[in-house]
Amino acid sequence: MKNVSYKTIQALVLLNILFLIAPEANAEAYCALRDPVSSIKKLFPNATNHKSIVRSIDETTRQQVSEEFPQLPLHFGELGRHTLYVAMNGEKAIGMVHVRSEQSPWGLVEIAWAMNMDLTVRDFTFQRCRNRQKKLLTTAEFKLQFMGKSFEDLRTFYDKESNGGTSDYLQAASGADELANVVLKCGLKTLLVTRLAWQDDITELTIATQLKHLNAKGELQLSLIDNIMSDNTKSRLKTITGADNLGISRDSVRAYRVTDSNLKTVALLYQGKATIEDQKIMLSWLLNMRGQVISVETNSPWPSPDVAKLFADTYQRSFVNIDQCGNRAELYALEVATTLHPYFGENVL
Amino acid sequence: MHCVKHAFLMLLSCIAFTSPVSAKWDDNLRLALDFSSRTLHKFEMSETAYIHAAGIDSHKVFTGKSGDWATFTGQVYLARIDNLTPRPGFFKDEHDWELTYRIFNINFTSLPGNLPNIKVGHIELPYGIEHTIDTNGTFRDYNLARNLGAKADWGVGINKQYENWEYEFTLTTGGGQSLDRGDDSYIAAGRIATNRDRNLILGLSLSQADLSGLERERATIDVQYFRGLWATFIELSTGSKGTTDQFDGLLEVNWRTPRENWFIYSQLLYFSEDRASGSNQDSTKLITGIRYFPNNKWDLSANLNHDIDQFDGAQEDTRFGVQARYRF
Repeated sequence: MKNVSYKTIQALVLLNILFLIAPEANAEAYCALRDPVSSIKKLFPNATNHKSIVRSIDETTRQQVSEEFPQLPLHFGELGRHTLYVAMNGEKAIGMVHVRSEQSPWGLVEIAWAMNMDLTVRDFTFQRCRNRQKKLLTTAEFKLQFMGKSFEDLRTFYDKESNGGTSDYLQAASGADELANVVLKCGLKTLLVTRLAWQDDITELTIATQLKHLNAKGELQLSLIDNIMSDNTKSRLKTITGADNLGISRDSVRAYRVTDSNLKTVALLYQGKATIEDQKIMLSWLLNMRGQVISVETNSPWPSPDVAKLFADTYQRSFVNIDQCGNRAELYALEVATTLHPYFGENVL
Repeated sequence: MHCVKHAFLMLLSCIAFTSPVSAKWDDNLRLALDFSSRTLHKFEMSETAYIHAAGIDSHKVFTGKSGDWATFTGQVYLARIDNLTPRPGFFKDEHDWELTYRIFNINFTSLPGNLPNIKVGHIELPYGIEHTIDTNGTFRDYNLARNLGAKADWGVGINKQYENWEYEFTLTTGGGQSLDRGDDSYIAAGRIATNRDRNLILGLSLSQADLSGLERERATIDVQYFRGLWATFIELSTGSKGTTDQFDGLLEVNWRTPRENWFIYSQLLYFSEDRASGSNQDSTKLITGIRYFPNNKWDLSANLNHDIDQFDGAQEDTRFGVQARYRF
């Protein structure tokens, strides 16, 4: 009798837990889940660790994908909880890896995609592919087509009529056209799904990395500054810089107040897409309340170490007029400082 | 002891899900309710048995500022058997139910330098082909339990995955579902293998065990080769159990559809014993199974297990099983 009552308690506890939770599941047991450790190491040799972010790919995501790219429907097997792996170097996010499966005549092909923090492709590797032609698609020539490409860029490789790659894209596939089409669809889906399901996490990670420069003791909060590109701002930019546009896309600009635990504004954050050496790069500027540049970060690798150094040379400096600007980085710094000027403390200009 | 173990493990689950390191208890958490019902029929003996299970399958990754540091996998099931012979030892008779732990462990993944990961808890023993295939709660099975005396056991282990190869070694108590056997039993097992995502996988497994005074030693090589929708697996084991030398051979051919929602496999298993008394025995069986995933919640499967040849005195039989499994 004692044994029976103990079992009854066990059963009740478990059944209670069973019906209290309402999860989403996959048919495969979770003990089969394994992190793509070897792919992450291969794609990000400098990574010291990785950080998992698990999110749901649900019916809403499926509909969003269908609206943005009707030719690439997510099948029901692709729904459920999925992981984005953020490659970390110390506490800094240096990129992301997402593994997606795409149906093929040889079963599901799993590809690990390495992405920059601005959601452009950095590299990819076949995690699982039962077709021996995969070697033909690991050449530098084929992979180069994907490097630095966004979803919109990759979309230009897609030919709606053939439901595959354009002839230009397939030229580098060395005859492995069918597998190359699988890779293209997988890449498109990966970039789109990652944006839809993880965009907020990616933004948060990028900003968190940059805010470490403030060495704040407590938790910092961000609050969006409304209408940062007002007519007044544009007029001031024209007066100070003498130009309508220096290379930062003003439509893309967002600015934030960074406040400490006492709700005191301790810094300002400016994000905007800029053109550097013919590449569109998202720049994130952190300025203190005296208008000095604290740091400049990008979501993707700098075009070259020289460019990175030019931007690093703006640190600890204030920019108030065009005479201080001898290069592109200093011009951008002037535009950022001028835009944020009304929010600095007094005695800056 | 039984009570204490379950209480401890339930507490461990609670701690795992409410760890202060994670901002929210459900960060990086996967949870599924898992129900399955299986019917087994022996044609020669004209007997039918039933196994039902209901449980929780959970998976949580703990992450900090510089990345992940541990992964918890917890699978707790209420299992009911009716008329099941032979039955696993933790059921008291052929009509019984028990709270069972399949996989229930924490793998600490962020040790400094190049140190291996450390796993603690109820661990699937790293041995042979089974180590890379998810057979949990399915008909598909390999020789793990026969080789080692248990499929999963309580203990500790180390593991690491590199770009081209991986390893896992464990030292466990031999208790199976129980924390220990109350004696000096142990199972030491390990597998070193090439990367499991390749199309050709080679593995070497070694084990030494003492289960209540009965010593076991085993060495196994396994080969898995994938081409297109087909795969061929070979597993060869040799060793001893007490004073009896044993040999196991397994050949599996399997096929899946391009969507991988249908899966068919066929296994030929050979087992021989060379006893100290001088008598040699062998047996051969053929197993064929099919698995179908109509969607990401249902898993339907069937299995036919036919004895081609049995040990002297044992009755040859053919067993048929069907199972429906629902996860949500």
